[in-house]
Amino acid sequence: MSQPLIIAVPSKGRLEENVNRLFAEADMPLRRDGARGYQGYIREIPNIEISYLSASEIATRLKQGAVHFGVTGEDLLREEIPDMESAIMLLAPLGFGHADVVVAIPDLWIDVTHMSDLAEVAGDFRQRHGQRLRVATKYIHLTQDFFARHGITDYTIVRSFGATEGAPSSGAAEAIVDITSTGATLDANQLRVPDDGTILKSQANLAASLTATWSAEARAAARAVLHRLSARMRAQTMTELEFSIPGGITLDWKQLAQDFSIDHLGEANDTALPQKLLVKNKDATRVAACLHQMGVSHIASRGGTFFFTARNEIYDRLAARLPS
Amino acid sequence: MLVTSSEVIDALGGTAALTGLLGVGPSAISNYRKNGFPARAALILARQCEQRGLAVAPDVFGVALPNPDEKWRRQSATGTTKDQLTALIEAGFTPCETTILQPADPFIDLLGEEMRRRLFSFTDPRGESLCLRPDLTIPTAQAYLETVGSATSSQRLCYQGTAFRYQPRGAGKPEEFTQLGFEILNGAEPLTEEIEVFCLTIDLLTDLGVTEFEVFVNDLALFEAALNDLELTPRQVARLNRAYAHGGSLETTLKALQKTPESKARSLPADAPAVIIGRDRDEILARFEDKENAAQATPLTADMADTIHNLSKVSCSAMALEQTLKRQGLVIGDALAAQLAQYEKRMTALQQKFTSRPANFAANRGRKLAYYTGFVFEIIVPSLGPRQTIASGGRYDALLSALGATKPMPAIGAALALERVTEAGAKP
Repeated sequence: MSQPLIIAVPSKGRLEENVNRLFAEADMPLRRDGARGYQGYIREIPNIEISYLSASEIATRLKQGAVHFGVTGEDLLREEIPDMESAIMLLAPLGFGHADVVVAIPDLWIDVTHMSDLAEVAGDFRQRHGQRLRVATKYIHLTQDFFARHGITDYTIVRSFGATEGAPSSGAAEAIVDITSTGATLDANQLRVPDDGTILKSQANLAASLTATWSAEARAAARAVLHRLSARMRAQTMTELEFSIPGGITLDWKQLAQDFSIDHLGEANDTALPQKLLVKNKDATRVAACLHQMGVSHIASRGGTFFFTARNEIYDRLAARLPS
Repeated sequence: MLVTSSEVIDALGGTAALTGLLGVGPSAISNYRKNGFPARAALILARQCEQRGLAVAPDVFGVALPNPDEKWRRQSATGTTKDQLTALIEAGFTPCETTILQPADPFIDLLGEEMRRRLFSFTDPRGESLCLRPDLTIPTAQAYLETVGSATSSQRLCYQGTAFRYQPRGAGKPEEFTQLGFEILNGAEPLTEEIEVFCLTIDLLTDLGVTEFEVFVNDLALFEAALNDLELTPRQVARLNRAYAHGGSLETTLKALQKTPESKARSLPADAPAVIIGRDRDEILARFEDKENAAQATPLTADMADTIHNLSKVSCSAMALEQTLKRQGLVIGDALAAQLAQYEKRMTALQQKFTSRPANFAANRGRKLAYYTGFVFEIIVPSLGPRQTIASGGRYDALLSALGATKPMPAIGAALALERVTEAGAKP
């Protein structure tokens, strides 16, 4: 019997929409069994099972090895999986679901600008007020680790299951640890993030479970998924530059490679052929300027839907950590 | 049989060999030595050990087998620990029984960072936060406060009982073990009591058949005294001393103190309430001004930070502390001189007990338990590897106040890890 690759994806909300879009663009749309079903498949690649779960459950399932791949926020992965590096592997940040996990304190505590201030205030708080400073959060582990790193010991965590920003004004806590994307909610609740109070800059990640059983079928399917996904993600972040090298001119490739990350498409040494380079979107104009300086007169740029490579770097990274 | 991650690492060729094998840096290997192997490394190394025919205790790689022989992983062989209280009763100590289940709060407050991570804590159905006692000193001190009430009499208490500390897999230490200990609470003669506690510990060990051991001593008051002699603001002294005594990162604190504190021009609005989310307006303003003033003052110099860092790392023969400090170029001021005089007096009295091996001074000892305040000592049998600390003790003058005593009450005590003592006594 074949053991398929199980991919856990968020079952609702904007995360689900983004994951759907990404997989559709990578030419392997997720097909859900009924709009509200919790199972699905990918027609284009055999031996794949899609499992629709809540974002935090995806982390737990990855940890247990009940699913092979999962798409969820890095914040949840780090919170739910102690010793994350040994249980799962982050394969690729996906460019959506951005959120920062931050410490926030009352804005009017004008004497607190850094975590070191909070450490002092927390120590002092207990002596003055006879109880420990309370921090409301759902990120228990992230908070404990971060506070320990900043030498803050005199505090107690109050579990929060939602509307955490309201905890200080309602008297349930003095400070909070929560996610924020724009900071607007914090402002509205008169809270402020200390200068070094950002615990984690999180986004949605594709993660692989290292504790799952990886059958040959699952590995083959994983390789196929990552081939398409990385080709798609490369196309989103890379631009192709095409130009010819005028006769009598030798390009200083070394110099270029030093300043920019550059992939050759085709033969770099054959100056008779048009040259094709793959560069990062943000570098494209600067690389072009450099090429001009070196004597190249015309450069065409184009983006693509996919940039495929035979070398499946992400899969190789994963395979290196799976038992052979 | 290899029973710790460190033994496995060494058997496979040491740190250098493993960095190659696992494709990780030396720092990762050093973490594995301390915390055990993560799943991936465990798999690779288990296979290596199998190929080389090395016998490894199953728990090293995190495989929990329902095998009765593996019980020691969580539990010491408690059957071997007979009642050893008689000797202590003869020495004038009264047995004191405390419960295994304890309210968690005092421990969370009074243990250092590392010990706190070792605490088995949980919530009872009523929502109260409880823990399994990680040592018997805190419960015994609490029992003392409950029995004497507000009276100020001194008491000598002793105990033998099970304590619990979480251990990462491969640490080679049982999580459930027996402590034999004694405490002199609210004593009146510090020096005499320190000498008595130390000597009694050594005598108990000798009676239990342990003759070969090393002694490490420290005096946490020395560090504080040295800080007071340096030109530091009270706030800097408080932060450094806290980081040191709580076993936190002194380096992080030193780095922070070398930066010029930024001054951020801000003020509270005129209509700010008297209490702002739990803190008084005046308290916030006072601390803000204090910080502004500090911003005008000069931050810690790199030289000063070096001096303090070196102080926290001093390691020398216990009888040569003053020379070592002088050799390090430390100018010994009044506060440190007074503390050193105390130290010398104590050491001279203890010298006769340093049997076969001389004692060492190590400024990093005794920082794991945040309640120690002065003289501390550890008795080590290096051949026991991860279980080498067989006894430890020290002065904890602030503990009773932290537990609710209304006046300062000095205290000192020591405890033996009985299974380790038995193990050490059995070694040829």
